This record gives sequence, C-alpha cells and structure tokens, in this order.
Amino acid sequence: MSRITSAAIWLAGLALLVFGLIMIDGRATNLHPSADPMEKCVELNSATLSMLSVGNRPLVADYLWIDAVQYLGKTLAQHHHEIIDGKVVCVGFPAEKLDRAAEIFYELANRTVEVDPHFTYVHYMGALFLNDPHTDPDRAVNLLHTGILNNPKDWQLRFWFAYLNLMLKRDRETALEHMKLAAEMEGCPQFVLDIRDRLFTAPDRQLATMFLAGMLQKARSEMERKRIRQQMDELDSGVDLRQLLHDHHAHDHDHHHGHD
Amino acid sequence: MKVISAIATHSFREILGTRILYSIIAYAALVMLFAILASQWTIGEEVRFITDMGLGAMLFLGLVLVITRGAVTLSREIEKKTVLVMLARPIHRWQFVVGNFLGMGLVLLLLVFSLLLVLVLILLPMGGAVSWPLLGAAWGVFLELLMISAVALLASNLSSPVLATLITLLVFLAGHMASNLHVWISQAGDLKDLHLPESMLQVAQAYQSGPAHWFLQAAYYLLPNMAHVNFKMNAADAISIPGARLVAGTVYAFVYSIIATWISIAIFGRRDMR
Amino acid sequence: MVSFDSVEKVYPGALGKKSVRALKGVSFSLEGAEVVAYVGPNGAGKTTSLNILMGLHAPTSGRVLIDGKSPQEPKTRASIGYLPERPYFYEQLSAKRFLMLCGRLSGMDRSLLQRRASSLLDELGLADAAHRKLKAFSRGMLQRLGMAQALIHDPDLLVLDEPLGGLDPLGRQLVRRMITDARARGKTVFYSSHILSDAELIADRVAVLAGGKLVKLASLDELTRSTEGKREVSLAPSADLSMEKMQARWPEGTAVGDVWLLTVDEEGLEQFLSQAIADGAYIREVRVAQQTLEDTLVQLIRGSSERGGGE
Repeated sequence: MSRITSAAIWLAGLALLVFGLIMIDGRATNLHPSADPMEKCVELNSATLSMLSVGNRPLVADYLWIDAVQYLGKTLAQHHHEIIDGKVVCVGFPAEKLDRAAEIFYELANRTVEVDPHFTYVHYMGALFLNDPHTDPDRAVNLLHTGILNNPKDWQLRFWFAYLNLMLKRDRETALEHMKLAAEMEGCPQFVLDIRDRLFTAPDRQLATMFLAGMLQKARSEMERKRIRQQMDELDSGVDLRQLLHDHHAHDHDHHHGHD
Repeated sequence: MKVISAIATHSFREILGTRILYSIIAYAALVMLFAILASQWTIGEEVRFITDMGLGAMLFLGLVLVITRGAVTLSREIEKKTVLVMLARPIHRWQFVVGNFLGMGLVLLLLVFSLLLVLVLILLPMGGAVSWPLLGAAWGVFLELLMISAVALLASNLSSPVLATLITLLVFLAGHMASNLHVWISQAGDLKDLHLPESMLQVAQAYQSGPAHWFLQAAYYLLPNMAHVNFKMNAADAISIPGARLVAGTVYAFVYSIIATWISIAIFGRRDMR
Repeated sequence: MVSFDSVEKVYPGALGKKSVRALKGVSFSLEGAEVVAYVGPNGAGKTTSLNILMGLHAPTSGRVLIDGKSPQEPKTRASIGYLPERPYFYEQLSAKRFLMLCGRLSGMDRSLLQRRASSLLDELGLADAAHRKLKAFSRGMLQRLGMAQALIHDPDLLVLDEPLGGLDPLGRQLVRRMITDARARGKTVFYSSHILSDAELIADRVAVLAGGKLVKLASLDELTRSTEGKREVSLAPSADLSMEKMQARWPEGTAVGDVWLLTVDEEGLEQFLSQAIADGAYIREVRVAQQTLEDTLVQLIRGSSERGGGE
C-alpha cells in the first residue's frame, strides 16, 4: 500500500513537473524574438482548449483575452498619429507593422469569442483598437458584426457598429437601422436616442464626436479611455487620417508608375 | 431515518475536520491574489475574470476534497476496520452507504456556499454583484461535485484507494467531454459544429451506426454529462439561466448520483468486510 | 443463544490465486451466562468465525443463528456487543462523541446514552480523555474504548476479537474484570485470544479451532483434568545406565538437560521406581505432573494437524 501510494505521489509529481515544463516552455517560446502568436493559435484551437478546460470555458476565454490584451499592449496600443508637414507620422510603433499587428490581434480576439461568444467586451474593445487608419477597416466591422449575431440584444455593440458604418463605410442607412435597434434595447442610455434622432441632420464630424463622447462615458478601463480620447483628438485635428493616408498611398503609387 | 441522519452527521464531521477551513483560507488568498493581478491583465473585465477564476477554483477545491476524502472513504474504512464497528450495530448496510453519501453532500454544500460567500465579498467592492447567474453557476458546481462524489463512493467500493482516486479523476475528465461524445454519436450534421479536422470528421461519421455506435452510446450514459450542470458561462457573461435548464440539470445530477449510490449499495451490501 | 451449524467459509481466489477454505464445517453452541474462549493458532479461522457471527461475512454453507435469527438481520445485532481485532476508530471524533454515535446507531435513548457513556468511560479509566480526539489515543486506550463501545448498549452477547491484545497488565486486568462482571450479570461472552493464561483465569469453556475445524469444545476443568494422577520422574544417568540406554529403555520420555524425564501413572509409580533402581538409574526427582492449558492445546492442535495432514 505505502509503496503504491509513494509511486502514485511520485508519478503525480512527475506529471506536475512535466506540465510545468510545458507551460514554461510555452512562455519561453513567446520570448523568442521570432515568436508569432499566430503559431500558438493554430496549435491550440479553441475547441481543444475548451475541452481541456474541464468545464471552465469562460476561463479559457479569459486566458485568450489576456493573451490578446498583452499583445495589444505591445503593439496597437503603443502608437499615436501626428501630422507633420501634411504627412501622417506614426509615433511609438512602426507604421508598416501596424496592419500585421492588427491581423494577429484580430485573430486572437476571434479565438476568444469563439470560446465564449457572449464575451461582448472583446467585440467592443477589439473593434475600438482595430479601427486604425493604417489597418484594414473590415476587421473592426467584422468583429462587431459577429458580436451582434452572437448577442443581438446588446445595445453597445449595435451603437458602435453604427458608428463604424457611418465613419468607415459612409453607410448612413445601416447606421440608422442599428441605432434604431439599439435604442429599443434594455439599458440603453439617452445619448443613443439623441444621436439616432440627429443622424440625418447633424454633420458627420459632430456626430462622430457625439458617438465618441458617449463611448467615453461608458468606458470601463483606462486603456479604453485613452484610445477613445486619442481618436477624439485625431477628429479635432480636422484631418481625415484614413483619407490622407489613402491619398499618400495613391500618390506614391502614381509616382512609382510615372517612373516606369 | 434516525440511523441515516446519525451516520450522515458523523461522516460530515469526520470529513470536515479542519481541512475545509484551510481550503477556504487558501481559496480566499488565491482569489485575492488574482483579484490584484487581474487589473493588470484584463482591461475592464476584472469582475468577469475573478468570477471565472473563483468558480473554477471552487470546482477544483471541491474536486480535491472529493478525491482526498470521498474517493477513499469506504476503502479506507474497510482497510482500517472502522466500518466493522458501524456495521456490527443494528443498521442496514444501505443506511451506511446513504449516510456516508449524504454526509459528503452536506460538506460539499457547505464548501460551495462558503466559497461563494468569499467570492462575493471580494467581488462586491470591485463593482460586482450577487446575480442569479452567479448563484446558479455555484449551484451547478455543487451538483457537479455531488455526481463526482457519488462516482467516488462507487469507485471506492470497487477497488483500492489509489485506483478509486484514479477512476474518479478519469470520470471527472471524461464527464466534461461527454457532451462532445454525444455530438459524435448523434446526427452527423451536428459534427460540423465541432470544427473537427477533415480526418477526424470521417472517423466521427464512422461512429454513426453499428456496434461502435452502441458502445459509445453506452459510454455516454455511463458518464456524468457535466455540461448539464455547467452554468459558468452564464455567470461570466451575466446571462440569465433558463429555469428549465436549471431544473433539468438539477434533476439530472440528482438522478445520476442516486443511480451511482444505488449500485454502491448493491455492491457494498454483498461484500464480505475483511 | 448462539448456534453454529456446520459453518463453512470459502474465500474465492481472485486473479489466479487459490481459493481459501477458512472454515470447514464448524458446529457448536453457546448458552446462558458463560465466558467461552475461542483459541487456536494464527489463521485457524477465529476472526472469520466472529465475522460470520456478526453478519459481516456470509457463510458459504451452513448457518449461524442467534436466538433463532440470522445475524445478517440488523435487528438480531441489537443485542450483540462487538469488538473487532485491533480496533481503529474515526480519528476526528472524541471518545465521548464516538460512544454517543455507537449508542445512537444502536437505537439508544439520548439521556440514557449520556449517562451510560460517562460511566463506561469512568470505569475504563478514560474519563480524562473523554473529550480528546481519538487520533491522540494510544493502542491500549483504543482497545479500552473498544470495550466501552461494545458494552454501551448493554448487550446480552459480547463478541470480542482479541480483547486483551495491546493492553498493559493493568488494562488486561481491567478488561478481564469487565468480562467476568458481564457474566455475573447473566451475559454470554465469546472471545478469541492468543493469550491462554487469561483464558485459564476467566473462561468457563474453551473452544479450540485449528485449520478451520473445531478440535475441541470443553470446560476448562476438563481440558486440564487429563493431567490429574500423573507424576513426573527425572532420571539421571549413572555408570550402569547411560542416557542412550535410558532412551532405548523408555522411548516415551524426553531429555531435559542432563536428565531423562518421564510421566508415570500414580498407581504404577512404585513398580516403576523399583524397576528403574534395579536397572541402575539414579532418581533425581519425583513430583506431581502439572499440565497447563497450553500443553493441552499444543497436543490437540498437533494431533488435529496430523490427522488432517492430507488437506
């Protein structure tokens, strides 16, 4: 009996050590300069992780979200834009790497909501950071769209979806449709109704400020507030960064063509 | 009834000892630690994270208790001959088994309730609230532990303490995959929901009929389907738990536990107490 | 009161192990106020018999009845007090609480139980330890507490498995007294033991078990009477009669040191002595033979294993 017990304890200890080794190995791999979270995502898909969590799916979602937030802190949240001599200058993070960073963050956020489709904050917050002039606007819109499909009764997701439709897609009809729905939902604050009513009368810039002010009011974390203020500042500068970047890009392209 | 309550009270006290107190202190410390760390890890989702962490730790601590006390109860009593003194009294053996199971259930109820209290006390100052989904999830954790302790009792009836612990752990793990197993053996259309790789999908489709199908079907009913009592997602996302689901889960857990205890009684009633 | 009727017990062998026939048709009965010692070598089947008597094991064939009822019926056990071998109780409980639990399971009334538990603890010298947890109890204290739980509901039959094991001389005296007290109050006591000197002190009858069979069940007097009227003669070798010659002359004797020891009937003593002197033996000592219970048992058990050697 005592031999069996000690053998069992020995085995359990060994298993624990092996498990610890694997965990440390994972962390160490992340510290390699070439580490790419995409690789990890592919290795452990959400279904496998959920199965391994023995009934703690939300915790797996939390883990993935923490991963995503850490990645976010190292990339997308690092930079801001300044306009110097009519050119958009990206400060704090190399502009050319922003799109790739957004792609990886988008992937991580998607993994998270795959595990927990009702983790609305991921949709909401993810879209906030994915809305960057240097990156593909569709990712932010897509993330919110899946969020709405998964949580049709969340006013905040629809509100934010309406904003992106208005500002990125210039689609006032879709924006109105979702603002109307948002206004009917439980817990919807007054400013949603105000913005809905003025959607076709107020100028875009004023509407955008109202949207962002509303979001700021409901913000839950410092990181979120900082990001919203940053977007408000960019709005105040009076320049449409995305348009400006697009123009630059088109110009460069033309220039390039000219030499051929 | 008097006999059962005497045995249940006794086994409750015996399991309780000082261990539960340590568990609660350890749990509180753990959750506190995570509460402090959480604000740096998650952005704006501290309450959710602590809730998930708290419910996960609750299950884990309960499992440790069931395995260290429950899974060894009977085999240890037989080994140390404490059972002889009890069974020499004018009691039925089934009363002994039922009393033991109820004692364990009582301990688990107390454990879950105390840990829930600790969790709520940590959550409240952080802006959390005592919500129905949270209470439901904690109830689900209790039901899950109840099923596992019934399995542990059965396993300890069948084998040595070490093997009983192993069996209990395996049933716990497999019980969490039972719902996946169910999708495997049910309609092929549902298989797509599992997001399986193509090769696995083909294997799964092979299990849709024939003896393999019946074998898996039997395995499914043998295992406790923990998904029935897992409301942690509702607690995390503050989604109310439909009453029907709560009732169905509760009934399922009780019926499963009763069946396991039933079999325990049959085995325990016939064996020679060495 | 208690009857064993050709009780057999076979433990089936698991996984290729041989099955074990622990009891091979044991029959006897106990009646009235008496103390019966159940003795025999290790593995004779004593504990198995007691387990069957308590309904903890089921006999393979034959039957055990207590007042005409099977001990596997819970009600039958209401009037039995049982002490298992090397008792070990719930270590988180205090002595008092443990006795209360035992009493409650025997269906005792709470106030009576309170009184009885206190007086028993007192009687067994455990009053000071009444509220101490059992994990702090020594082997001897547990054994005494075991006695207390067996007596708590004042049963008519006491079944005790090695009640004197693990006790110091004082404790043994205490338990022996409790056993004889129980007999004085009209109870039947059936106990197994290795310690034969205790059986000589307290038992009325002795049941001898060897190799799963009841070899003898007789009163203590009967078992020790067989040595009455015998004399032990010690012969020392002389110039005329060496040890070798004595051995050839009286092969039934045994060599003890430098003397040849013989047991002789009282009637033939005179004749034997004159014959021995004539043969040239030197008679060192003649005394009354004293056969202990132990001697008798050794003979009985040896005899039974010779007879049943084929099994």
